[in-house]
Amino acid sequence: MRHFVLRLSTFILTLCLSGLLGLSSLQAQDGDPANGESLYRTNCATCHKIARNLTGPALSKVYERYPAGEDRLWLYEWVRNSPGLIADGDERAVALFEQYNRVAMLPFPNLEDQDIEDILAYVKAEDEKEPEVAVTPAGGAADPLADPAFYYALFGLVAVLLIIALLLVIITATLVSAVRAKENKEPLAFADVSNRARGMLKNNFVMTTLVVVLLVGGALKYIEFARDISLNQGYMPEQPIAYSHKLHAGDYKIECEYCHSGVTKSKNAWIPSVNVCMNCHKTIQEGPTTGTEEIAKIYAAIGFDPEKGQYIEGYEQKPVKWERIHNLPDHAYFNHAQHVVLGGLECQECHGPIEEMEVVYQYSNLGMGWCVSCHREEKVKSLVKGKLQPNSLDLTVEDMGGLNCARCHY
Amino acid sequence: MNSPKYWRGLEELEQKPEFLATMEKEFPTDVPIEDALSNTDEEALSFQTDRRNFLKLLGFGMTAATMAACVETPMKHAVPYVEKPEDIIPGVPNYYASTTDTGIPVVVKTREGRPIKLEGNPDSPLYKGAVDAVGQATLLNVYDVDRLKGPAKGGDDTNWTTIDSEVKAALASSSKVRVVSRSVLSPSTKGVIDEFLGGFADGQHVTYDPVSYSAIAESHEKDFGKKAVPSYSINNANVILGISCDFLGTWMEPALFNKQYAETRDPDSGSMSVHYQIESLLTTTGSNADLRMPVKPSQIGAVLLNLYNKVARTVGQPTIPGVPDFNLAANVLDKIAKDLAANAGKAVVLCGVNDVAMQDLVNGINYMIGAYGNTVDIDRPSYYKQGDDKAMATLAGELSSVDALFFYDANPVYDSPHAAAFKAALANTKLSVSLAYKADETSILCKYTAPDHHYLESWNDAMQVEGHYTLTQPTINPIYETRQAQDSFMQWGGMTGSYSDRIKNTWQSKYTETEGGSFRKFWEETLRKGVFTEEVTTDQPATFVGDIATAANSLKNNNTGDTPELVLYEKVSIRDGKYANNPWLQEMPDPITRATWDNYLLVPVQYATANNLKQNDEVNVTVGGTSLKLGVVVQPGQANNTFGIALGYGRPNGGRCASVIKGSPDVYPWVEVRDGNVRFERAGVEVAKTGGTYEIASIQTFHTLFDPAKQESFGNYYDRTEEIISETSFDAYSKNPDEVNSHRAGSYLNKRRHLITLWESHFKDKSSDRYIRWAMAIDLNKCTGCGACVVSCQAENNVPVVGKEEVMNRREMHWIRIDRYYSGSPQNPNVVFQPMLCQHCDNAPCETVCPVLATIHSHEGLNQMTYNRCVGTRYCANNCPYKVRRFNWFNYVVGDQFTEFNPAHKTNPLGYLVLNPDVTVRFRGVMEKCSFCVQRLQDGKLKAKLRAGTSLNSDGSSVKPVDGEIQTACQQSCPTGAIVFGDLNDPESAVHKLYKENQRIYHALEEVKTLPSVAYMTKVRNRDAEIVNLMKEGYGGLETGEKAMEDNSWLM
Repeated sequence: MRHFVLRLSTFILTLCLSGLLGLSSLQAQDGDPANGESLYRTNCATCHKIARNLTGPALSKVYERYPAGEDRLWLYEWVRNSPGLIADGDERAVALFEQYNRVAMLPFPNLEDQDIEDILAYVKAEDEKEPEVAVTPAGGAADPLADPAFYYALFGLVAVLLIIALLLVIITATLVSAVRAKENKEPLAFADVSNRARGMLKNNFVMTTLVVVLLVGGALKYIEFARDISLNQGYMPEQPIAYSHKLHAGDYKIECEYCHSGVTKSKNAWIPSVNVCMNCHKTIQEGPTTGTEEIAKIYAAIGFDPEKGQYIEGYEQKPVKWERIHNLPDHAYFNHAQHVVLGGLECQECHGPIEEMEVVYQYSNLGMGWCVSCHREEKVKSLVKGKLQPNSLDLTVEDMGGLNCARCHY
Repeated sequence: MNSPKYWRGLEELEQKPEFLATMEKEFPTDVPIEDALSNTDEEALSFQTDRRNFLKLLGFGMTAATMAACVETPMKHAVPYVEKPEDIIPGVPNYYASTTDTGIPVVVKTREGRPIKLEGNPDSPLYKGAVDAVGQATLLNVYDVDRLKGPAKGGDDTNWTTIDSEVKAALASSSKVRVVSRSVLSPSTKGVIDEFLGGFADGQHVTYDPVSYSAIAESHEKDFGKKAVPSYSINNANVILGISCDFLGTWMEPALFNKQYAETRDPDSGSMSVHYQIESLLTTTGSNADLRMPVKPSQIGAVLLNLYNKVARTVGQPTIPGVPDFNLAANVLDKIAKDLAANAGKAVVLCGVNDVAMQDLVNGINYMIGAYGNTVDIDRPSYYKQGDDKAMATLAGELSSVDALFFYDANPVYDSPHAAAFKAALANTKLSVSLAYKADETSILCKYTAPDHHYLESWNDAMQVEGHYTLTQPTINPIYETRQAQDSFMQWGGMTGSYSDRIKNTWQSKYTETEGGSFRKFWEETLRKGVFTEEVTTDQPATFVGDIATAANSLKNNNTGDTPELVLYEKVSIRDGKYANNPWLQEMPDPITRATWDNYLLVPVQYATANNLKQNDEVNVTVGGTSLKLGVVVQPGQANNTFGIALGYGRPNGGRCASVIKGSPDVYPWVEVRDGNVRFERAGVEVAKTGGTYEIASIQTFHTLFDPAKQESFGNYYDRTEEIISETSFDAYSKNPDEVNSHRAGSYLNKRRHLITLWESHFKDKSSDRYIRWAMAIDLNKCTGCGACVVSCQAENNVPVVGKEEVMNRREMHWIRIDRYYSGSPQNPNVVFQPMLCQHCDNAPCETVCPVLATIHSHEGLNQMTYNRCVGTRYCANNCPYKVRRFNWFNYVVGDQFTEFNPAHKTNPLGYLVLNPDVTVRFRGVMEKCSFCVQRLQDGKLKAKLRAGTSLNSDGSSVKPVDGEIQTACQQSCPTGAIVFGDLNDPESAVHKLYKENQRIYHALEEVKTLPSVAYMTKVRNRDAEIVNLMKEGYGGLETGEKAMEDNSWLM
């Protein structure tokens, strides 16, 4: 035991020491890559990528291009006030300016020398990393019911159970026969079994019960089945672009309304037009899961050349044909703005955990019963001091006439 | 009060047993279900559904339904914009101010870039939001399947480059160039055409109107030295005299005149204009007149001469010598002359006859009674009708020497009296180009067709009346390979720039003259509002310089006595036939005859009786050696020995809807040029029975509110009519307003407490402040029967067009109809129009009989119709006392029999675009009816709530829209403002005030205690004691004076 405690303390000690060493070795470097990363993301990432040219040149090896000394000092000056350098006619600056389509770099006067060093350190650290390999997208949450194997298994199970039941009957019959033989009675004949079964069938009570159970059960099952016809709960079609809500809304926490901006204005929440995608994807040309493949489909739709970073002139745009997931029948009117702005509903209350869906599926059944149950229970919200709150009179949507047919059907 | 007896057709008046038998049923024939299940008649008789068959069918049906339902739901796509235009919010309509090609300023409602509804532009100081049925219906033309899809040369498709180079090449060697058009309202377009024609040695723009107003302009040239049609301000008149002038139906600009007229006809304001009408056929205008006198067309001259002299004598002006004495029955002209003279500066005479001499007399009378400068304004002329008959005749004469002919918005081969000349010449003209947007009779004869945009795809401007400008802006991308006509002219004339820039330039000059601030701001504001008014000042008011005595000479011997005459008239819906391919207009019932789809011969009652002519008889009509076969409509109120046939039918190349009815002939060949003017009255007409029949799809006695077959249980048949119509005279109303409806129980608000009802909760809920209680009031006094509401409702609510066959089967689908009731003598009846729509009864008889609760009451007093619940028993329609429910007998979108006319038909996917996406397209087998435009109600309520940011106010009351914010489609389109709609629970609302305070409010069929949410307001006729006495003396119209119905009991 003492031995173990010793070992543990040695381990912890080593850990601390190596930590300290590591820390000191970091301090020994020119910059702090962690701080550099955050600075890079806030200031540089819009125009610079590390591996390739964007609006500005690729930053890879920039620390080598401007080695410590005069060059590095020039770089500080450039970052802090590149327009100034160009205006002063600095040769190097003007050459860079000309090289990159005469787009001047924004001045960053608030970046200290150390900040720039940090960024360079981050770039260096990134350079030294292994190049990333695009990971194939993880399959969506598989619906077990959709798998035919599930049904084979079920069928097999039933078959096995039936065989067991049959075996049990045979065993019982054999045992009964054996007992009867021992008691010197006649062995059990097949006729006895069938007679007994026939007796059961002739018993009115049994038969009536059986018929009633079958009829009622069948009817209930039929109604349940019929109710779900065309409701399509769980419908999860494959979309033309493998857009991931999990990535955008879940990981990156982009507000739903950023893309579905109709949700507060119109009856439609609307699928964003491609130009909305381009707000980000003009610069983000590569994704973490599918690389450039899916993003290229956006470019194909709108006509954007990622190499040049420009829209292609005279391009015949190809609209994206999304598969519609939520299909209300034509005779049912639904208004998103009403529910979101006045009802104060969160998207997830009807659409489910969208931010966790790799592929979107229909979460609620969207049947009329589903609508009505909410209208019966939900308290209408009223605006109190600029905030939506359940009303003081406890009025439900129903109390406001929310169950009238013509509220939704016209 | 002795109430008049009302009847809607001569059949009802005559009460023949055959007719009564058809009235017993909701539909004229039984639906042959058993026939449908068997092949032969024998089988049909022997076919009986026994228990086994029933069970088999039931089992099969259930299984089939289940199997059908199991089919995988087809995948639907959602296709968003690639680049969403900034100002489009999918799901939210945009509104743009524009102008129809008929010249009405409108607001176009668009959804996702496609126009779906037109409404009058309330910002126009002239129109104040008025629009008519035709203006409404022009929307559908943009989705017309027969539109030209691109330029063509000799009937073969070509491209614009070819057209341009060939037309330019041909023009290079042309010197005599003519552009033929209808009246062009747009100053910029005129500028383009003038500049184009200026490039040739002999270039001329010839304007004509199929229904010509040329004589008005010519007479004003003679009498005032200004060749123009004056503008009219009927709203300034106390006395209105219309002479063969249907200014509320077809004359010049009915939408505008309806608005102006209604302003003078409000009995609650304490004063009301008197309206006299002297005419040959019964028109919408005549049926609204306080006193209407039928005269033959040949007697109009005599009427005018005598009226002139009578007025002249009263005001002390020289009279015309040698005028043969003529007066209407009971010397009515004396009374009219007296009233006109007594209201100097406050009276107007309007005459629709295209005869210079007659118009001279009218000008003379108007001048004597001080109309000029007050009700008639020649210093601020109107531009609706600029056609020049003489210029057109000259052109027709010199066609062989013309090098190049351009037809812009003109179809003279069909609608001009010189059609034959054009037809012959077009084969030989070196260059002929049609710029029509849709193939017509002229364009198919032209060498080139260079199709114009529809106006909803175009830029344009318009000047309806001097100083009143409106703009047209595109509201949809051009659907086909068309090009705006003005751009074509600019291209061929070598002008630079585009037409839209040119308009902007025209306006730039206007702006520098009138406004401060930046032009951009001015232009954007003007474009947003769509209208711009310029002060027009004149140094000197026009003075009369005409020579009446000479002008009168030609009229002195016109009266032809009793010989039969024919009037070629315009129908309120089809007008001159330009829009004959518009199914909404074809199916709109004529306000007077209530007939749809067809052209027919209007026969006066006296003639019909004497010659044993009945409705639907087929006759041969012969004029000037040519004969046409037509069906007969016997028309009360028509001058004896005068016949009428409508223009605008029988178009050989009008499009598939225009030519779907084969039996409706074209009567333009009978239009005649007399004394240089185009005339629509013909003498020498012969009518002979062919012995056959031609059935007219007239709905006048369908959907009858009272059931004559049950008269025993309801007492006398006529007694129930007063439960539907209420009318009184202005004298009686102003003296004793309380008396008007004193025998009735009063309005909903005052009445409902006394009733026992099964539905107590309806009233508790609806009187609660939390809810809105929708209600409507319709003023029978303001309704002129124009039909704008019918088309408007059809457009708003996706009402299908069912065609002539189905109309005859009483299966027309209009949610609102305008019942027309006659009372009094068939020779000259009084007329009342009553818009009839779902009354949204609180004790609704339809609701109690629906076995599946598909029609139930809402908390807001609506009688809701839920299509997806309806199983089509039709019990509700059967039980509706107002007969406003319509059953979908077919799937109109796919049925082959609806191909030619239903706008949204599978064969015309473009037609789907006109559908209102907020209203379900109903499927076969469900009932439908007026919903009070519930989509607008829901939208309006939501808008109010979104504006407030909450559904409930802090005190727990619900957020409600402002009164007047929500308008139903019929209300919004009504040019006279006859319909008021709003929340009865709001004591400040206009409708509440009417229900509470106005004595004219009553409900139709109050005795059946349905408690409707629609109230009517008593019709008030401005008949003073003098007029009533005149009418008692003789009301047949003619001097010879057929006395009216013997007891005169129908008189007010």
